[in-house]
Amino acid sequence: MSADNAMESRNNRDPRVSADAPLLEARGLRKHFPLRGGVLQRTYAWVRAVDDVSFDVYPAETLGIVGESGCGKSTLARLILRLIEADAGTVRFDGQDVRGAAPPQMKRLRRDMQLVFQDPYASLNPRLTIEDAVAFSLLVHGTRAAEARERARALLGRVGLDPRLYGRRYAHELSGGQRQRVNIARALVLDPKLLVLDEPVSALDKSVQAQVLNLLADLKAERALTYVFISHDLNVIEYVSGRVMVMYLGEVVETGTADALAQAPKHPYTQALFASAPSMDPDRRMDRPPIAGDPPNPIDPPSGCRFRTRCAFAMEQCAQAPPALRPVGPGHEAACYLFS
Amino acid sequence: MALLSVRELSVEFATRDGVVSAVNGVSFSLEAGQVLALLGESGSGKSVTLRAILGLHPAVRTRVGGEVLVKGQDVNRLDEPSRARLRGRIVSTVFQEPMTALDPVYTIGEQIAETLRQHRGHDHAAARRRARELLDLVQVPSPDRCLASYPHEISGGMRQRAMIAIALACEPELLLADEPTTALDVTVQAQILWLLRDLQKRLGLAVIFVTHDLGVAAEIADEAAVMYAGRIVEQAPIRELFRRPAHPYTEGLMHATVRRGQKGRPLVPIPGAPPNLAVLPPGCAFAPRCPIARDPCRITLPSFHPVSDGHVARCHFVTPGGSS
Repeated sequence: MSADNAMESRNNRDPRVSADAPLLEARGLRKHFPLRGGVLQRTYAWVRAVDDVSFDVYPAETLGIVGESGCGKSTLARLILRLIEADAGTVRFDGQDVRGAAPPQMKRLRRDMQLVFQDPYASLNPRLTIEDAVAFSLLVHGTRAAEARERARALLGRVGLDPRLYGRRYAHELSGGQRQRVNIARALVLDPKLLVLDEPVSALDKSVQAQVLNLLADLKAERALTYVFISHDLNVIEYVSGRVMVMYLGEVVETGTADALAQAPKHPYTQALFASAPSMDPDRRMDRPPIAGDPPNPIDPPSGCRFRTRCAFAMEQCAQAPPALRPVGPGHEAACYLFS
Repeated sequence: MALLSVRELSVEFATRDGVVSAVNGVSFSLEAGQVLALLGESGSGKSVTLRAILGLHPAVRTRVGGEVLVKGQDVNRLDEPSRARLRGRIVSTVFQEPMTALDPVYTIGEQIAETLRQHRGHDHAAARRRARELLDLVQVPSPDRCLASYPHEISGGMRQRAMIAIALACEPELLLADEPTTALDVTVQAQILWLLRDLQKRLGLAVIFVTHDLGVAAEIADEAAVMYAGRIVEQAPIRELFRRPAHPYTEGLMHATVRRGQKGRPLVPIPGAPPNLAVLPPGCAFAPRCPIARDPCRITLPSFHPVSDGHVARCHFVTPGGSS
């Protein structure tokens, strides 16, 4: 329990007064995807998936990234791990430049930063037994076969899958929750420092979701892991994160501790996001929807503040230039002209 | 007479792995203007129940037992033309994924008009007029543009509004909604829930709302039936269900769901996984995962025990007036 508490207090401390150097530093990340069409496959538009996103992740904390579809959160996960190349910006992991790393150095870096995807079935090779799936990356990194299998089996046991019962099974023989446990074991087998979790519980039933969230919390404490936890579910994000970053159409609109955001969300979008979540109380139903409309298409986002088309407080200047992130409290920033 | 009365409904599918009992003896009834949430996780039989109400299960490799009475008529004994009339005029449906439920090669306007021509015999001009009215009813901001759009040209929220417009085209009395907000973003979900609640009240619709989400049920339902492994395990007025969940599964689900302000308090998951529907245990299907299960639970299927007025739970250890 004391380890948990220690973790909790590290989680919630103000990062600016911390002596620790960040484990992960992202600065000015940008990724625009071209849309091509016609016989010549000319680019006719750009999807502005991630635009000028900067953040730090400190050792042993959980940074939650929340936002709706098209906000760029999954693209951001892939940029962090350099599964896709950024158009601009830098990523530093443990002081090393990730975007500039040569292939051998990149392979070493990848040991330390791993990804767990949303769909636990699509991300497992259907032709490998789960034991082999977990051992695979050890083999790639030069571990002997016998030892790799031994470590894979131990880790399967740790994530709650008895290797004697499950080791030789294939992904299709497991339930969704069990598959996600396999993915977590696979991500952990190289002893990474950072786990990027992209909607890791969104495809699971609620009763199983709780099992996986508890497992992730235990593993984090045991192994002093650092998490970047991406989800569209604000309740889950608030529950797992020390700090939270809210994204809208490729940009960061607010960051702060999970507590500060839950108690006093500043950006009108964050407020709407909290107010839109069902209350779980039939006596406190919504009187009216907090905001109108759908998130606009990231192909042609609104000028200035991208949220202005759905914002009840939109002013003239919101259309002219995008507001910068500004401090609105200790360790709490929002990108909105209401606070400048 | 109840608008809808489902008696001992069972649905079995013949599969390669044997006969799967997706729904086992489900009974409930619904009065005009009432909103019932069918709550359950994947494989609980909630969507299969909904389809059986429409008589949508193909006869091949499916056996449907029991009765589904809509205004006294048994859906499963009607011939196909009468069933089609029933679907158009009395019962209508909204599905989870508007992108797959709508036809991609017709405009929204054509699809609404088609429904009206089929079921109402409207001519072209009258169908167009009524289509526009319907889009106003579901609060589409620019109805004329929406009428002329193909499904892929409008947003997910607009598509779901268009689906609702089609469902309401023939002024049904009963709306069956199968996870209609699950594929939507949370800010859009809030809008669609609010719209459905508003329409339900204004039009006096009876609604069966299938959902896996306790929060969504709390927002919309008058009453909830919780399903597990093809059976209703608990049924209660919605406030009562949240105040005093009586079945250990319902209670477990409430404790396992992350709520706002949960931080710092651990989640209590339900151990294990739902049973294989091809080999259901003889007793209570939840017994292998239940914290209070004892020998009788593994042998005899519990019947419904009263908890309070209108609140029943299928558990041997329920006592009236209190939780198990």
